[in-house]
Amino acid sequence: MSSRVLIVDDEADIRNSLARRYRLKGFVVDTADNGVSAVKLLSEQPYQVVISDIKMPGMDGIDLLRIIRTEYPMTRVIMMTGYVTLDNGLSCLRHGADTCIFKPLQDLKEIDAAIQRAIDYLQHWELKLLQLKGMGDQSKDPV
Amino acid sequence: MTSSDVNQDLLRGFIDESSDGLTSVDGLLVKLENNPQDLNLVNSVFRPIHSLKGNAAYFGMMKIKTMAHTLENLLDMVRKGQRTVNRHLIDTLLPGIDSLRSMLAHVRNGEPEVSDPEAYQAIISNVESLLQNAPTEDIAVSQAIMEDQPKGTPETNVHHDKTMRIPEQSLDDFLRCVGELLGVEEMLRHLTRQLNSGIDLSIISANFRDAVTQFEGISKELRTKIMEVRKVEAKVLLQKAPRLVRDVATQAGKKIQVTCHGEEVHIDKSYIDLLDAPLTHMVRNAADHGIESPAQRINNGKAEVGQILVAMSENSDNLQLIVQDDGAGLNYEGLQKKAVTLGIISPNTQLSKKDVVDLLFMSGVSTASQVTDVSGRGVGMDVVKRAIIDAGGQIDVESSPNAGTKFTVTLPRNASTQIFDGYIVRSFANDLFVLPISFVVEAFRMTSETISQVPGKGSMISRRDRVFPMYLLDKILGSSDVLTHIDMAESMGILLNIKGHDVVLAVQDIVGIQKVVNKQVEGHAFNHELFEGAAISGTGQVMMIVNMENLLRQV
Repeated sequence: MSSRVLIVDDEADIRNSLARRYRLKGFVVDTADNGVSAVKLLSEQPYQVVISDIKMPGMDGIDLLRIIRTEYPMTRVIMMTGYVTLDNGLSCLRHGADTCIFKPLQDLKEIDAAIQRAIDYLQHWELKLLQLKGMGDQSKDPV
Repeated sequence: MTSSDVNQDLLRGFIDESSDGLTSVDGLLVKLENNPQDLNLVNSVFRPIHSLKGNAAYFGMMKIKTMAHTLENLLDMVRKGQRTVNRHLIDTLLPGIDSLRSMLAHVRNGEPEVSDPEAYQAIISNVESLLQNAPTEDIAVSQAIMEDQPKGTPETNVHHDKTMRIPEQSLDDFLRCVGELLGVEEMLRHLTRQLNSGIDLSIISANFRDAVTQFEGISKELRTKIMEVRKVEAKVLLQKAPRLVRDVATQAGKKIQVTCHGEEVHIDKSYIDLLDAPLTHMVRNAADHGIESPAQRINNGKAEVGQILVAMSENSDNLQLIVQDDGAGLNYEGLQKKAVTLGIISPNTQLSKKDVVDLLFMSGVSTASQVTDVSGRGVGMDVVKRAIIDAGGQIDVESSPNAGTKFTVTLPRNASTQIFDGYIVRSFANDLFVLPISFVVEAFRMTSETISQVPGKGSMISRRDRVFPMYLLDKILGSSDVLTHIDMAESMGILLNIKGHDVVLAVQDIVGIQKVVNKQVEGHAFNHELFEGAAISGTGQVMMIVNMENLLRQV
């Protein structure tokens, strides 16, 4: 299963380098440069993981996070911020982000691990749901 | 992840569950229209839509999510008392539910969610127009759009690999049976060892009998259990009725109340599919042609609101689906005319009940003097009737002028019931018997010259240069008292081939060939060796079904 990742950041450099990195790792990656166009993309196809900056013009990352939590509760969200304040961190926690990663992104391993955790979490649930559905069908059509 | 990336089993399971959830929504909405103050009803409708909204995006069904979301918003306003329940509201919600259902069906078949984006958008805008605070004028979805949306359950609902929810207890029971089967396997293995070790055969034989008895028990239990698992509540079927009636009543300006009975009766899964089309037809027919307009009803001294009863019931043998209305009754004159025009009866003969049913379930024939677009199309209804008869069932109709019409579909209770072509003969004692047709080679009238008595062998009959042993059916069955005055030459001979043996059975008469339903018979006077069961003839007479192999053993 190739997971779909949405990267939201108003800085094109970060957006593009992250997109390249995760495309190479085999994910399907889309990008948006603000919250509004991210919401539009989210309504058009399902994303497993959204990585979003907090401070963006227009709709900021926290608003986006809030919308995702109510509208697409199964989507995992990883927040990034360059403005390291306790308030930002607590907002992420309060609205149910998976984690919050501080910029500058010197070591991308932290994001890698966060994405992996999100995917593992979803796969764990898919397995659970299949078990819920009962035996028999599981082996039939593994995707 | 597009929907094709989701685990397909999971997706199918989700769609089936969601579709099941939506089926009840139609009925609930119609109920809500009649009880606008009932908040519990609003909540019951809200719940399945809400969870569909929450889950659809996970499976990549974005259009379904949007539709569910829009509907949810409207329902939420109703819940909060910001919108009152009225006909317009229900008229707006129902197409949305239909659209959800058909989109789910599309995805189930591997098609895109939306086949007609314009119709989809029209439904969304229609709901959204009610969401705005300003009171809206009636914006009805145009008829052309409605046509594209399958009403009620979509046709595409027939899936060959439809999933089914099974109670955990049943699976545990199956597992237990499997465990016991392993026990039998062990017994048989032990027997094989005993056979090789030269132990007394009588001991082995006793052990073998034990194994067979055990096995019989398990096999019977498994059979019963699997039939139980296949059963579902009749509610799945009956809950369609209120919506169907509402659609007709709205269009025709009638007032009709629907009552459903027996929703808790458990019926075989295959019957749900079998009865779906006939129920739709009968209910529409009752609403469209049975119930009169309010003015007409008052004129005829009846309550303004017409009544339709849809009931499922069962007894030890049968399952019955009844659709009854208190309308005008069948237009016998019109039917008679149609029957004559179609060449079913000649102008002077009276219509029989069977003819009426045949006519009502014939393609393109309806009781309506004017054909309305709801039930005026009797497409494929003869096929529907055929399916019921092939399943061993029948359709009856009773009707009286100004009092209404009652359709009854009767089906054998067990879908596994054996149905076969029976060769029906009359014994000299005037009883009817069924011979399974696969044993019958030919039948012929016997003459006295061909019959001869062979000492020690009994009667023999020669036919086409061959000689066959001949037996009298009555004699085998033990009613020998009639023997004295039977003229063999007057009787019919039936040449049977039973497991390679050719014998001739003498009977008084041959009645014909008919599909018969094998019904189990109990009672001490019943000879289980000789008979497999009983069946009912077209005239309602009981006919015993002869077990041919055991019959041969008796002679």
